[in-house]
Amino acid sequence: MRNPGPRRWRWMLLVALTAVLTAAMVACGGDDEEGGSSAAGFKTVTIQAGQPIKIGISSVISGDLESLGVPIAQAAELAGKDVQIQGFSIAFVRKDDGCSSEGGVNAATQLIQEGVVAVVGPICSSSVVAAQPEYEKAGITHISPSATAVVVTAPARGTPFATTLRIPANDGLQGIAQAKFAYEKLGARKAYIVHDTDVYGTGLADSFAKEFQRLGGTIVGREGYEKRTTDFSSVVTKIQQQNPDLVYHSGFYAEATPFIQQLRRVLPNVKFLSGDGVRDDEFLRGAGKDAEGAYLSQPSPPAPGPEFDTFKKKFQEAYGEDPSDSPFTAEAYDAATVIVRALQEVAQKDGNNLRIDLRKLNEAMRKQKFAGASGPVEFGENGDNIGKASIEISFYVVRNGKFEPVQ
Amino acid sequence: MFLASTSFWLDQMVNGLTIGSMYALIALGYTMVYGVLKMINFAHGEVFMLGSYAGFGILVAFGGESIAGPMVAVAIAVAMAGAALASASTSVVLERIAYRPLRNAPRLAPLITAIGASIFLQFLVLDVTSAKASFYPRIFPGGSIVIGAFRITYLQLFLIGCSVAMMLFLSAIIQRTAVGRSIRAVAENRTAAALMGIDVDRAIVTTFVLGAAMAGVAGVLWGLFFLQIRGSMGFLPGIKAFTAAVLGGIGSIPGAMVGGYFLGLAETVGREALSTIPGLNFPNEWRDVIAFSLLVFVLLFRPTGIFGELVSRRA
Amino acid sequence: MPDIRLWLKVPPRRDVIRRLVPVAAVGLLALVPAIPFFTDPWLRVFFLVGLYVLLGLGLNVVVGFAGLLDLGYVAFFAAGAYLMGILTSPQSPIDLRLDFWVILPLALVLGAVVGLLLGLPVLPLRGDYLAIVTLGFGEIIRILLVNLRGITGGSQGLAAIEKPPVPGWQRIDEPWQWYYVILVAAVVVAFLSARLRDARIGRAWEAIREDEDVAAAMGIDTVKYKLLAFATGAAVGSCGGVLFASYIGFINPTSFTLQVSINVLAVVIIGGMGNTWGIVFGAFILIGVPELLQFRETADALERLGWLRTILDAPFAALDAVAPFGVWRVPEPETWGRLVADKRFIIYGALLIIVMVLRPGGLFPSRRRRLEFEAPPPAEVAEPTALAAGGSQ
Repeated sequence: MRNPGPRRWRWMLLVALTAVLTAAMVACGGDDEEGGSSAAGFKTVTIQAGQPIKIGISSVISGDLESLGVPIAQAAELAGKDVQIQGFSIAFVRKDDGCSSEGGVNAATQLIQEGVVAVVGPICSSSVVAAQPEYEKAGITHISPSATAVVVTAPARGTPFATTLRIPANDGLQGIAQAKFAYEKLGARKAYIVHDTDVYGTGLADSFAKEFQRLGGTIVGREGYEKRTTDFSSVVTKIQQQNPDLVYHSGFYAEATPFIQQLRRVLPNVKFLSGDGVRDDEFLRGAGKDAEGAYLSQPSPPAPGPEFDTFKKKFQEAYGEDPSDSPFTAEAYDAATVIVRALQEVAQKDGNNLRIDLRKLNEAMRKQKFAGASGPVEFGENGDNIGKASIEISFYVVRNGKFEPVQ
Repeated sequence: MFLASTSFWLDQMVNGLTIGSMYALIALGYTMVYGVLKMINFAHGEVFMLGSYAGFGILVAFGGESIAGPMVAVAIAVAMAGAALASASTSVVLERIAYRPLRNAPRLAPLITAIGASIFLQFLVLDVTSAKASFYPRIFPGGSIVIGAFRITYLQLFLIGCSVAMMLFLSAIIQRTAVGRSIRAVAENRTAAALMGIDVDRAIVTTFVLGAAMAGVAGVLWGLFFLQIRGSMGFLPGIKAFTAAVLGGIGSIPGAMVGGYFLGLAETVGREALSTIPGLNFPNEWRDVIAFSLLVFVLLFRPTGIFGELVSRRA
Repeated sequence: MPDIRLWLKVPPRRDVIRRLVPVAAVGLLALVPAIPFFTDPWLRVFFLVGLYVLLGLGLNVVVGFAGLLDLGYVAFFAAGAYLMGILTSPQSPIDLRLDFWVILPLALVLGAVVGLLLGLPVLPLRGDYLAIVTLGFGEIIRILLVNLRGITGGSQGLAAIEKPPVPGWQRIDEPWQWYYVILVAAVVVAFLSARLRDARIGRAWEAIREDEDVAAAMGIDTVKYKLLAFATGAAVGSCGGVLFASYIGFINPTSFTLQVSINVLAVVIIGGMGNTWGIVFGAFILIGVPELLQFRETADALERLGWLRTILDAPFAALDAVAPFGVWRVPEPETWGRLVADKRFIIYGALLIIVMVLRPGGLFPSRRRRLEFEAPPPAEVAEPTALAAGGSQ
């Protein structure tokens, strides 16, 4: 192999210089992004006659979380089906964000590029947090049907994003209500916490623990598990040793199902309390008899309202599946509904074209207040759904293979 | 909290043995393939997963939740046989398509192929099932044996018993039969074995078949115990089992067995034991960290694993 | 007559061309953002590709040069990313808000240190033992990131990570600016890596890769060089992590899974180990294309293949016309991109298998490798020659 001499240095230096110079050239002569201020980059969008109004969906379309992401996308699309706004139809553009931060950013960039006026999603908190600045810069309001992390509406630095909205309740409220229920209604004094180490599970467990202790209860143990765990035997043994009054679980039904089955083998009678990630028909189906007597909370009215029934019927007609099989479908439907309703208020005919002022759209979306399929929808200053906060967290118990409200 | 009752420690021990049995069964496949081909069969976890699904299909065909009485035993036996068959077939196909052409390529190529096969199978099943879980029917009789502070459910006993039986069976094949001899010969020195007239290809395929059959059975046992299976279920047990195989000394069959139980016990009893040290607390979420740290620790002092041969430095 | 070119000390034409090609290619790459066709989404994909090229180059030092099978490269990536996160995010326990340019060299140092820490215990391990241990390390790091919530923010992650300030200008925030950042970084690393390979270190690594025992016997301090390999590769990975964290502005443990290690390894090996352009190509195919398939431009381009669809669909159409039941029809071409994208993991797996089986040396093996890998397969009985056997690989 030849010994490269100093010539190599020079070539490479030349390359580096070229790159830098080109950068400088483009910087000075390239197109400027609009909306240079730190505020949202709202502008007005014109839709040509004959073109549809595009609404984006940032969800998980393939891979492990497909069973979560696809029904959500389907539910959202349902809200725009056969809807006409001033003679213009709605087209949904789906992008796969892979529930990751880089995926969220890529999906956002693509959706913005494609000229969507608003977005349903992303569904995962990490995607939302990563993509928020993008949406804000482009002035595209996005509304998440499932991101529950606190930081989504309370960013680490700066004020909440004007373009970020979400439907599900803040976990803090559910946890507090659960703790009250456990202490007062169930009379529990010693609780053992088992939680999903992901954002939702940890957040909910934190808020439950804090309130439960404040009320006077003790947390006798706390164990986390990673998603996809199926072996809870050593956790169950630990619980058995501690002999708590209540086993508190926060996470999703995918893991709650094997957990409660293994728990019941050893402790058939200990009280079990979990949250809306578990309150799902899949849990009943998977856990069968072992689910009997389990308490579950949900931030929505005790009986699903007529809005939910309408939605459920529509979903079943369109896709042949029960939307309750998958979490957050009702929320996704509501999210898209918010967009559609706001569009109806704000879109203006401009000759044969349609004009949409994104700022007005954002304001209209934020002002929406209605009874949705997933419960009341009303947005607070920071983008949270305060409609959820105004209703009590409802509690259910599993009896005879069904969810029955606890009065 | 060492004064936690003896029953607590015994329970954790039973837990460890139960999960360890499954790690051991799966680990056998890894170790055998490695011994013969000197390659990590990354797709073995997916072979396990497919066996589990095959068993599920058979149980559903038998009637699912409605299987009762002696039919339960029959159904489970057929399910295990079917799973073994399904896993073995998958493994054979994999060997043919993905591994055999690379037999003489340096190690990185078959590693990547194996990883590719693993990803392919996993996501194929996820796609077909729309990433939804399937539930094994709960037909295994409940109940347990209690002797003083010691208790074990029938299911756990069955699991451990089955695994031990399969391992003994495998050992017998390897040690006593002609085909086993040929496998051992090829593992020791492929060229010499070929020169001695052994059909190397057949020995290799048999290795895959045997290892996969073990994993298939493990898949059914897993399904019966944990009751929930999905396309991504093979990944973590696969890695754990491979860790167990390495721990025990990869290429060594008793090593895989010991490694599996060692890992299972470390995750349960070991973790709890460490948690008793004042100031330390290792709840469940630290389980895998313990497992992998253990691996590193063991390999620091015995780079070829517990039973590993000190010979193969060029491994 | 004496060759006048020799007299003028002009290199022969072939040589000049060979040297100009990479320069020209890089120059072309530098012009990419100036082309209006490459809108922001494209530039974002290119950044990701560039990031994986960077990581691939780093891993290439460990796996390609020194022959150390590392399946836990994500640990170094995470180290740099979390260093950046902890030192700049308001959510971290240390509220420092350091400058990006200060953190970058720190990350290099941290990376090197982590590389050494990883390298030390695994020194005596070979081949697959090394692979599984490094895999274990990667997983340990990830689980620590999730569980040490006080330091890392747990699964909530760390947000509002700072962008690099350019003195006299603004912060680097636009996709095209990031594109240049990663381009320069990749070029620099490629250059340094090539220099290392041709220097004494590189030759020591090569000797160790070929046969560690012989290398030791020849007087090469294998301990030192193996540690150097880990440290160098780790420093590059760490640097990549810093860039990633700043680019996205938010990190959490889900971005640092085993899949990342596998991706980087696949990029290096599929591309053809040791070959920089191979790595670029590998990154493009494995990381870039799956994203690009989702693009509107792809759908538009595919729309033109309507004629192809008609041809392929003809038999199904015929069957559908006569059959009483519904027959599956070939979907419209503009959806092909999306469909493939939806199945991209399955295709990724299949691709790995296919490429390796057909070209075990990678798509663009360096000449040396080609000799190793594509020596005619020996007959079943005869032991392959020492060279083709690939030695301690």
